[in-house]
Amino acid sequence: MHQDEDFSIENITKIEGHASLDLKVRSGKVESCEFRVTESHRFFEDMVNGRHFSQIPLIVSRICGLCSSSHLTTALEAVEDALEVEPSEQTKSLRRLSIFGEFLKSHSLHLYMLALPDYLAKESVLKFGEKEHHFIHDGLNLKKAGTDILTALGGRPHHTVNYRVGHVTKGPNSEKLVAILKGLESVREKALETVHLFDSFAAKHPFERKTNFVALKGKNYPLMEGQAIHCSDKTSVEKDGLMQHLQEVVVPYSTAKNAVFNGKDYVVGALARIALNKNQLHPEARKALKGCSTKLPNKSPFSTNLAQAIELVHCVESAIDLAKDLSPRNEPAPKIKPKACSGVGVTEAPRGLLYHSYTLDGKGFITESNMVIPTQQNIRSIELDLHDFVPTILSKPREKAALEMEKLIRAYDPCISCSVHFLKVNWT
Amino acid sequence: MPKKLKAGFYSLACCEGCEIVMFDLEENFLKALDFVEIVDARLFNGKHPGEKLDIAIVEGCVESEVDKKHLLEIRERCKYLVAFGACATIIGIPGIRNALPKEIQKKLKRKAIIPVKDKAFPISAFVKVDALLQGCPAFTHEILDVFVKLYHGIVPKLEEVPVCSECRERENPCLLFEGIPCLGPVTYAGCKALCPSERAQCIGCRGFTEDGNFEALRKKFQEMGIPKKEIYNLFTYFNPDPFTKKMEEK
Repeated sequence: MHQDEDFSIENITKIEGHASLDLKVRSGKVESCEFRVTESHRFFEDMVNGRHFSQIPLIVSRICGLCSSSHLTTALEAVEDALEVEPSEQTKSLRRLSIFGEFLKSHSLHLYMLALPDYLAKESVLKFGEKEHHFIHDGLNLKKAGTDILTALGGRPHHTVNYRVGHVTKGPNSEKLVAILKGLESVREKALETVHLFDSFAAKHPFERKTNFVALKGKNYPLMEGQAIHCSDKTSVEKDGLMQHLQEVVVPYSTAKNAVFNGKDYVVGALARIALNKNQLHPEARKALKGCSTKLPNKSPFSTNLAQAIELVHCVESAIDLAKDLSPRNEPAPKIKPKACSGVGVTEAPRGLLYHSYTLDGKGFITESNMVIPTQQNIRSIELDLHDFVPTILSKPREKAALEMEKLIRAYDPCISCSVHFLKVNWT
Repeated sequence: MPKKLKAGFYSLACCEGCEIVMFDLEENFLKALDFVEIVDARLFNGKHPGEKLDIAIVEGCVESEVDKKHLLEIRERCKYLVAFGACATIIGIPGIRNALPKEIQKKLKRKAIIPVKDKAFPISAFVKVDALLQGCPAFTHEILDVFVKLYHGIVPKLEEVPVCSECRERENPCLLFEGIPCLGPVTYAGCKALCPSERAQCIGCRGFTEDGNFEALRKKFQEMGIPKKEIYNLFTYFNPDPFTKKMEEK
């Protein structure tokens, strides 16, 4: 690449959704860097307005095909927070188990199907030769352990059908739980191997940039039922006060909003969770982390992949512990009396902090809603990273430099469909 | 071995869940690659713009001029076009926006994304569709079925019975008797009555049947004591309001 160049990557591949990158390089420095989300707006915040609270989880689940359970769970928690409905312990356990399943699905697909080809210098998994072919099986087996949980508990791997406000219409029978356990136990080793694999790649990336991390604060490596959020700048906030710290910023070149926390760029997702909550990881995951040659947390965005691999171990082991203790019974649906109210749900989706809030009228219909999605929170960091990263790779040929940039973007595991969920913008 | 089918996967405005369903084929996904060659798919980084295709599998709906242009190009390039999932086949959840007040729709005007008439459309609004993969998300067993049939040059046909018939096959108790507002009687089957089998009502993701008795079902919902606004919402999860004109002028 040249010291002065206008550079674009249209339709970045192997990420979820449509996004492009525009760079302007002058005298070896990045003058402007625009990570453009080019998907159409998707109107979700307006589409749920006027709908009954009971329908919301089923609708917002469709924001994202990869993390539908996270949207579903966050919406359920927000509506329950508003209506002061306390779901049973069994309902909560089933949801937790689903979330472990979703992390397994999402992380393993990202690591093996989208990120791995970069590191093996292959165009895609379809171009894997005999030597690499087993990675496809490994990735699909890990994914299957996750989607088998989702299917057993929620009817199918995506867009769970039976989770409702306050209850689950039908829980799994013990046969299905035994099958889940068997599946999870069969991928224990594979999860550890994934850590070794991505540890060996992580060491190859010297690029670092200081940023802040934001994640849920709580017990047992919290992925849901969020009550508080903390940031590596040492601030901590109750969930109802999150939006006083988190500002959404409209950027003219993109259909996704950006976000800042306490006025600064920040990162959410696996790396942020490990940075802030690593002492709460499952003992097996902590052991795996200790055994890595790359130390986490660090300032390299490329380490996100390793952090996801560590979380695979955490989720497999935690799901095994949880599933062992479950013996679901049929529970009646709680009687819910609608009232004018509002509530907030905050969880960790595979890609990071996820926030939903809803206001209901006296009859149970939604009058106002807001959602903040992980990818929109990371976009600013992606741009700032590229700003610093691109000058270090200018000596490489164009194609190679582009690949390095795509690798960095892919490491964030961006989910574009999610990030364009909103509408409430006034364009000038 | 005869020639492999050249296939391309495309996604317009949607959650991309259907494309992710491809991975749920698991080992069958790898087996399918014996007779299907994925030559163009952003998720796999196959950059072959312009290449002729045997099958194009398109998920998502048309919300912008960019989507529309992309869709027309795909149609030009392929022999068979398969609509993939609820957004592409019947408009699905994105269609809820079509009933939003005009002033909200108007907020969307801007240069980069030019909306098509301020509405979302299923792909059949603009191009000829050869086969449908219905559901939200699409079903793995049907994806394989479509591949196999098209490989042999057979254009697959849809189930023409409602979800109720599959509930009966599975011996599910009828949710309507329990006061749960289920759309099974007016929705196309093929899902093996997935939702009712989990004691969750059918929300119509495979599309309304041609001859569904919507009026009778509405009366049934009224008898259950469901308010009018809520009945409207129940019918319009995935489908345009069956009581007014099906789809406004394009």
